[in-house]
Amino acid sequence: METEEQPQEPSTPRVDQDRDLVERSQAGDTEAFDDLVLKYSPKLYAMIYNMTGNREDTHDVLQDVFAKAYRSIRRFRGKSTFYTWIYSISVNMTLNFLKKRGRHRKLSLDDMSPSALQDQDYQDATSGSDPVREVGIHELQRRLNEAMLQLSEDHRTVVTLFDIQGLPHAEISKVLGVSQGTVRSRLFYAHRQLQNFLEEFRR
Amino acid sequence: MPIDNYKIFWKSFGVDERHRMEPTHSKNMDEDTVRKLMRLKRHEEPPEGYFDAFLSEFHRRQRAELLKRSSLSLFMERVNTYLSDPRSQGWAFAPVAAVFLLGFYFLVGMPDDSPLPTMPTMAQVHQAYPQAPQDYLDANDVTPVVYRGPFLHFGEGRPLVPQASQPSIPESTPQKAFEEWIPLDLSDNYH
Repeated sequence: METEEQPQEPSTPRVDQDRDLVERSQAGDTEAFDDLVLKYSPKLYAMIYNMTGNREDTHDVLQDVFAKAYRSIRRFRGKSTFYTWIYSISVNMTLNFLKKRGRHRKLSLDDMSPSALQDQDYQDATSGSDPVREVGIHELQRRLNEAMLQLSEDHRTVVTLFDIQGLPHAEISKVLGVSQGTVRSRLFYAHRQLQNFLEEFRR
Repeated sequence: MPIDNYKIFWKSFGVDERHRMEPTHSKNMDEDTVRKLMRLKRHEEPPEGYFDAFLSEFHRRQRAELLKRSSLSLFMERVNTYLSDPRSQGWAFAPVAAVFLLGFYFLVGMPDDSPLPTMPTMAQVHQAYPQAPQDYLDANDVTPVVYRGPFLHFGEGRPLVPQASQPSIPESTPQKAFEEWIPLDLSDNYH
């Protein structure tokens, strides 16, 4: 099955590389916590952004995530890696935010970097006489985000973590607190829905 | 998994093909293409320098939060953090016990400063009931029915003592005891 294929950039740390920074943060070293913020804010930003589809909301939620992590860092006992812990906080807070936001959603997108045009995935997806190439990268970005927002929150989460962020199934199951089978199942149905949502590219 | 291979997928889970969901547009866009398109979202990035500014705003929000929050909420958060510490689980009920003990002390164990009830003096009895019949006094038991020797009893600012030659009053004659008790002038004792 292709859904069992591991992502291209598995980023799961087997050993907690952040142990020193975490212990210093727990001892009250604010600079150590700043290092954690700088290290994880790009990944967490991308995760929240792809789930909300709104950069202003992403900014606020991410601030809240780190504020909560800062208040709770003393309670972190190292049963999981800091990476898994901070991801779990982010996912839970984002899901809570999405529930509060309800249907009042509005796309507010970051710019697509020019490197996207040279991306092999883009080349492959738009190869040949594919009309995807004709819509342009910005229109493609808008349609991808609209398709994402049509997914349920659970499906959007696994697509974000697996397809966009490259986390393996095992790590996603830890972050979400569900079995790997559930992760695979959600991915399967999410991909099928995305196929339908994106089908207009082919027409 | 290309969507055209969905039959193999369902068979691998032992699901009868008749009960699986029917895919739509299965011949147009396969799952691999979808995944490749989704991966393009990695190129959506905030402007350069965003994360440095993010950290600065994080610091500013932290300071503002500390100033805004009351000392009570800070205290409650510290208590909450302490109680959530696995090492302090044995003490989890200590604050509750302390509150309970304080409440018990204030409600039950606190010393009573109110004056204790005392037996009325003869003068008080006579002042309140100058014509009180003996039956009334006996019925209300306001007279010293047991007397075993001379003693001082202070009432209305005047000490009352029995006459020097007066023997102890028999219990059977409380009326006599009233009659024979006289105010004692102790003024000579101060000269």
